[in-house]
Amino acid sequence: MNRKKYQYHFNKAWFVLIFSIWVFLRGIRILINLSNPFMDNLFLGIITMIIFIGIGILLSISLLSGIINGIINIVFPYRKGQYLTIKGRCENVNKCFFPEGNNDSFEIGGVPFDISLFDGMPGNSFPAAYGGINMTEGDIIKIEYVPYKEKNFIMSMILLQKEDEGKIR
Amino acid sequence: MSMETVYSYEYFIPPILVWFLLLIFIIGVYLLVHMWHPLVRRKIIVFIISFCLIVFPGWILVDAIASTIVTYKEVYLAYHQNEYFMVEGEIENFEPAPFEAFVSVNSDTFTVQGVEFEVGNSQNAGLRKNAANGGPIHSEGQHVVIYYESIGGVNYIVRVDVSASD
Repeated sequence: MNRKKYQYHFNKAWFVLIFSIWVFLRGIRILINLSNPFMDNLFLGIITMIIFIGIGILLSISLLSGIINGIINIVFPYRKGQYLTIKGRCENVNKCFFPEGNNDSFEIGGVPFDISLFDGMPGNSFPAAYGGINMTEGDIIKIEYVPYKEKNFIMSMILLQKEDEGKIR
Repeated sequence: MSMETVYSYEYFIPPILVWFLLLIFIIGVYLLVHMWHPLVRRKIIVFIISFCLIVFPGWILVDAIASTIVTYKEVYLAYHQNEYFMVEGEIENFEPAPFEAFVSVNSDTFTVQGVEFEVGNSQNAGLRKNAANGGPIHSEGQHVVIYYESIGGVNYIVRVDVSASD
């Protein structure tokens, strides 16, 4: 299936945050059970608890701060209409291959865009090889984006016309 | 002696293994469909991986689903239609499983009036919480009334009543 449109709805970093909170809670469960009469190996239990709580806290804090940062600086401005729109031909298209790479990049009218699979910030994070829009050099695309910290976060992307297939929208 | 119900098999939840196998199977199907994308390289490797993820877990998944359906009918439905066995007595030969930090894989075993039970196996229907995880059956000599279903020699606990003073 060739996708022709992308619209931001939610940040997939939330799923990773839920997993990291689960890891943290497993560590708390071990902490609560340190005095459990059925605890076989207390030393192993303590080590496991420290690992789970440590990883859970580190992951949760970093993800949460990134998610909140993204909501404040990208999602809220987008919802309020404070975004830029650009429409033009794709240039300097570099697409990754599955499963080797995880990053696409291209330019429209000199404005650079980067689509990274493991980007924890809001916006399009589906490179073409992973189910995203498969654009090629010369395609006409319309993008709504929010610039933040020298990077442009794609909130909406529509493939208007393929270079070699004629007008589709 | 007054007894109170401390466990009753109210909600049927398929074992975690079924969900896990289903997830792997879905990933395999996704890879198989996605293999034809023009940006996918090494299609042979992707095909082999998707084949393995579909066939091997799929084989076990079919068996797990069949087993889950049987368990639903023979344990859960049977209990709620008041068709079950009952045994009352003291817990004997109680061998508790140790507390496991990550995931519980071992079970408590015990007998009541010669009837053998195993608690803690997450693939079993009925009572799964063993003593180390705060389950209702936790010590030798505990006076209990156990309601259970028996399938293929395995006894599934569907209700536990304990002495109110416990």
